[in-house]
Amino acid sequence: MSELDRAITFIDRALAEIESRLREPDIPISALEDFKATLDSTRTVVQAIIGASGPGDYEHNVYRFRLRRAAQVCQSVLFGLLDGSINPSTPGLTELRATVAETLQHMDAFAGGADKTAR
Amino acid sequence: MQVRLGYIGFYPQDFGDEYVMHQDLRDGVRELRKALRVVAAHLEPGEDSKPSMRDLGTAVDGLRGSIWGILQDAHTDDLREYQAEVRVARAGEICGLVLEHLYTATIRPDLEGYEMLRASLRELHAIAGKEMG
Repeated sequence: MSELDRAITFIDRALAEIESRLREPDIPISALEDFKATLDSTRTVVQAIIGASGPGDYEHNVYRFRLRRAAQVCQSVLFGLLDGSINPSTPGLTELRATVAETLQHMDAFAGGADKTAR
Repeated sequence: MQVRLGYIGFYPQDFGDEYVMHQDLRDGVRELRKALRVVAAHLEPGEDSKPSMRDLGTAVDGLRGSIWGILQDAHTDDLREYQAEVRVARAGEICGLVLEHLYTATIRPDLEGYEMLRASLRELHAIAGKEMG
């Protein structure tokens, strides 16, 4: 099964699940939030496939898009902190700070290792 | 005997706004699945699936926009706080995803965007630390 087949199967399963939930008379907002998160992932997959020049390119593109998207989202939080719309009382900020610290630590270590290898 | 709405004697107007909302979303999902089937049909060797993928991308974007509209409408009283919470949650999710890729070494420093994210994280970490004390 190719990466594209796998991606399509993943999207189709997610949509079938969503379609069944939409038959429920009262959909909780949290379900819509999950749905939107699924669509965000789907969007990355679609962009990766469109941007791929060959089958091997697909995964490379997914990671590239994720890095770029992560940088954009972190920038938007940063602007929120600077303009005060995000502040210490915003739920999840403490956890985000911990995740950011861990991710940064790994990226620094990884990049440091790569620098040494390059030398 | 009382019959639940939506099964027997069903009239869309009985659901009011909620019916319209669900119907819009159902239509969106149907459109997306249709676009997906078109993409799947173009998966034969030598076929170019990109034009149909672009249609799929447009359908995804349309649906994302609709859902974001519904979510914002549901939070008119606390929209600013809700948007802030969503931004923080989204950042947490995507950083978690990047972290997983770092653990499995599928994201490497030579990937385009690696240094951009590293710089953004460094800046965010410093500012968040300052704000949180």
